[in-house]
Amino acid sequence: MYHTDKSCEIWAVAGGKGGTGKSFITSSIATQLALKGRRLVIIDADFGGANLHSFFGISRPKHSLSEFFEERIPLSQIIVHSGISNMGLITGALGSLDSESISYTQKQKLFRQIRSLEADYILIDLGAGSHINTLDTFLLADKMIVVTVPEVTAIENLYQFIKSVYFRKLKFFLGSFGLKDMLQDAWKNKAAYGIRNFANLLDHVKKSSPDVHVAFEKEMSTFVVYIILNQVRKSTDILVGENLKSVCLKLLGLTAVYAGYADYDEEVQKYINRKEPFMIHCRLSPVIREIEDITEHIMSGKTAIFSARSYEHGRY
Amino acid sequence: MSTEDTRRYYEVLELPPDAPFAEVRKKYLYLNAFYMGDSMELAALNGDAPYHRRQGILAELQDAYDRLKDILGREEPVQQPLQSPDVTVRESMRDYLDGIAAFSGPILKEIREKMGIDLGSMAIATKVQKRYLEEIEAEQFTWIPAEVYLRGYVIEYARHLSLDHQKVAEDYMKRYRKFRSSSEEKK
Ligand SMILES: Nc1ncnc2c1ncn2[C@@H]1O[C@H](COP(=O)(O)OP(=O)(O)OP(=O)(O)O)[C@@H](O)[C@H]1O
Ligand SMILES: [Mg+2]
Repeated sequence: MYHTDKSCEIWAVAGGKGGTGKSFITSSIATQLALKGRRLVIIDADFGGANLHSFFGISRPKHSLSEFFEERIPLSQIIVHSGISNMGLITGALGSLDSESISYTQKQKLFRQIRSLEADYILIDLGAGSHINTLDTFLLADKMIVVTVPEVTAIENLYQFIKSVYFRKLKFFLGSFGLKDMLQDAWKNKAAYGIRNFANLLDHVKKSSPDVHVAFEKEMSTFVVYIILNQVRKSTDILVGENLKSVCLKLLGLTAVYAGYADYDEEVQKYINRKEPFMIHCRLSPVIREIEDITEHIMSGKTAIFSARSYEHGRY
Repeated sequence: MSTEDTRRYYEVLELPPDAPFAEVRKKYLYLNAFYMGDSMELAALNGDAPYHRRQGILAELQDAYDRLKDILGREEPVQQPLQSPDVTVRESMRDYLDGIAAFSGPILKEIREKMGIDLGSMAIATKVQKRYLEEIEAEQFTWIPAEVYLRGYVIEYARHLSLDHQKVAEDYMKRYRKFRSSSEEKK
């Protein structure tokens, strides 16, 4: 049923904590791709907190996802113009729809139709938190992107989110081995198995059998998270992204790429409040250049390299 | 040394395999200080950054750096990373410390006593059991620890005294290895 010869690449943006700038970053990256001549569709999948349209200066969108869920109108027919050439927008449902009211079948249908949209890129803006629908939509992506800010609470939520996504993928993976209860069992008997943290749990799974171990390495190695650090206020903050990448690798055992950072700039809020797309109208902001870099890094899959100089001037 | 190993060392230091030695050294110092410290990125991990795993990471970093240093054939002196501010080393103390050629258990004990720090409070601050601290000083081990743990404990000990923990660990582990091989020969 699924399109295997997918021509489009799906990017999903999430990150755990609310208000870190997920929607701002998603809309900005989308605009950058459009300015580079790529055709794309940007989707507001923040069920219950839809506001992506505002970043494009749209007040009352003509169509929304509620038509897809409630009136069974195909996704391709509810795309509205974003106001920026090359970019279509699917706005989130305003009002009645919330994550709980979406059935499993509806979700599968949505994913199928997202995959078959006609575009070079599909960008999906997700809501805060680790709701199962958010996790599943995130896992749909070819490039999984998280946005965080240099604050301990945001970082805590980020780890929780990444771990939840990883568990979700692990559960699907174990299910394919007929071991779908393994995680639950491991957690219930964690004392007996000596499982005290995330890394212990992964070791437990790997140790269960050589077959599982081999398949695990193969399947889970495709799990790569792109980290974007937003609202950077001082130069030493920049390295937080680098540190998060390192922690993911060394302590959680997951691959992460630091895609880059965006400065905190008061202009951002001004443009949002005036309902003018920031990337189009605020060309003098340093954030423009930073979004360009981030977009480039995610497209190429290469990590942002911060010169060795920055380490000398880092906090440590 | 195989290229496979070399690649692995670069990976540990999170560097591309063509990074020059100057970069290797900076990254090593940076990561070493990061995993030794109490940054918000580590604090936010809660239970996912247990002490022994951090010590394991530090040992891996050290090993990767040492090996790459050999391969790249440089012998620049290792700059001492930032010192712990817990204990300020007074001037006279500094002279005394500068006069120490190589650290050992008894010398560490002497320094600690000169600084007026008791083992009980040190155990609390370093989160290393008092028994192990005593054994480190006495160089008498009732329990044969894995080297990474012992090294980790020695580093904690040295950090608490604001010593150059790299040098202390290096000196101490050299003695420890000699001590172990000679005690094995006796058997
Ligand atoms: N780089 C930035 N500089 C200054 N302000 C910013 C920046 N990024 C985001 N903001 C501010 O933060 C607010 C929240 O941003 P945004 O709505 O994109 O967050 P979000 O993560 O999508 O939130 P939610 O979790 O509610 O979906 C914006 O209205 C904007 O004012
Ligand atoms: Mg949002």
